[in-house]
Amino acid sequence: MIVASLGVLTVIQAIIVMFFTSQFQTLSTGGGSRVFEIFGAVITQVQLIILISGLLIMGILAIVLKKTLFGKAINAVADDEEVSKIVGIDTNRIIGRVFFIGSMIAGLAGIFIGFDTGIEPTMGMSLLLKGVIASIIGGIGNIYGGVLGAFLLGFVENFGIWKISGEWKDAIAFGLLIIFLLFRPQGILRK
Amino acid sequence: MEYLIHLAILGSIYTILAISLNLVVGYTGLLSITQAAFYGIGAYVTAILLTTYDINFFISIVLGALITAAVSLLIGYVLSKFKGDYYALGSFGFNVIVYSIFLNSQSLTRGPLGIPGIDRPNLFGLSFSDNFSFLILVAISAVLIFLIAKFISNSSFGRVLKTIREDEQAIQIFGYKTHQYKLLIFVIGAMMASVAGAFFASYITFIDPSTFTINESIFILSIIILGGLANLRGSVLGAIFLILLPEVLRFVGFPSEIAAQMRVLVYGALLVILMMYRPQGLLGEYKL
Repeated sequence: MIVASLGVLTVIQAIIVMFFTSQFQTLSTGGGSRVFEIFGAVITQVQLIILISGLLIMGILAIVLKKTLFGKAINAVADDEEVSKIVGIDTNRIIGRVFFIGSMIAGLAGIFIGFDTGIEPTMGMSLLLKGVIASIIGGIGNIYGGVLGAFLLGFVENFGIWKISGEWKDAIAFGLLIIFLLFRPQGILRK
Repeated sequence: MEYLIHLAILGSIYTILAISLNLVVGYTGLLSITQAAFYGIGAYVTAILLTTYDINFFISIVLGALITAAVSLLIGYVLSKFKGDYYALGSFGFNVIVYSIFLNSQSLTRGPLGIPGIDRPNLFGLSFSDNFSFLILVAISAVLIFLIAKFISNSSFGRVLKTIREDEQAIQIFGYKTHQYKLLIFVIGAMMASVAGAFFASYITFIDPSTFTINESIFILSIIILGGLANLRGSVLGAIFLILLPEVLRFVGFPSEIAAQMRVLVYGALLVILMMYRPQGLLGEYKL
């Protein structure tokens, strides 16, 4: 699985470069972006929208996973694929749909990043790894854990580059991952 | 002719890399995606020793391998706590960290500027400065590495490694300390990769961090998956194939920007197709 998905990543990345060149591009919001001040810190309108949508998506996912039949089926497949097949869950369809929803949310994140800082073809790899790190340190299989992990990762990275130079960001992120894998492999919030 | 020699040298360097990774991934079943880090450490140690301290190439290869062994011992020890996909992710992480170190410790590696003017090797007045004699040197080393790997895989040590791959618990019951075996083969693989790095630095005479990214690790991994896991001849075949492939694409006549991406696209697609239809590669005995 992991090897094949790495293959897909390199193929799509190469295709993007071929069509859109490897230049850095930005999406513009049209007109100047508004800026808000909260406790003396500055946040742009786009960043505020990102923050709110992040929390919104967390809420929706948590409700879907807890309350609906579809959510229960997902949990069943995650727990034991064989047994859920036996009790009549179409596991392949569930997995396909989850993959679809996950990709859609990731696509949304890509659009937001385009508005906030800009996009380039090779950004996928580092963002993917950040996503994986965030979900592992937050706790796999836990929506709140994912959000918590993402915030923790963001804080540690940015407080880290406050002390040492900015190019170490990736190294800090992976250092955090390895520390977590060693000492708390189940993440902050256990399922 | 000069062009063919160039390809043969690159092919030999990648053969060494592929064999080194095959010992870890193919024989022992540890999905490590950090080989480019050790490749890079070998290259940087050789480059720094040759340019700054003016030490002989053959001594710096040995020193590079020793330093890589020390680093890989540390990395391998941490990695030995992980299993399955987490192992791959953790090894990924170390590649990124080592790359960051190449990029950011300006005083040692000159960061993104790279290290230029690395000397070609010479031994007792015998110089390997022209490409043909360099090819002979690299080819001999590749054959030596192949024979060492062959010896390892046929020895009782190699049989233990294969058993770890198939069923680690079973062999633990027989009293083998499997983590020591895994650590040892990881270090051996890393040392071989550092030898390849030393040859690369000395052949191109210039290195910069961009050669040693995760993409390079994935490239080496696709070589051994294409050639076949746990098969040394497969690694040689895979290295030759994936080195020649972009050259063929060059003659098809795409513009250079697209041609460079075509190479990436083709090996990415190859990985996906192989995983779907022939997960053991061309000559392999083990499926990932």
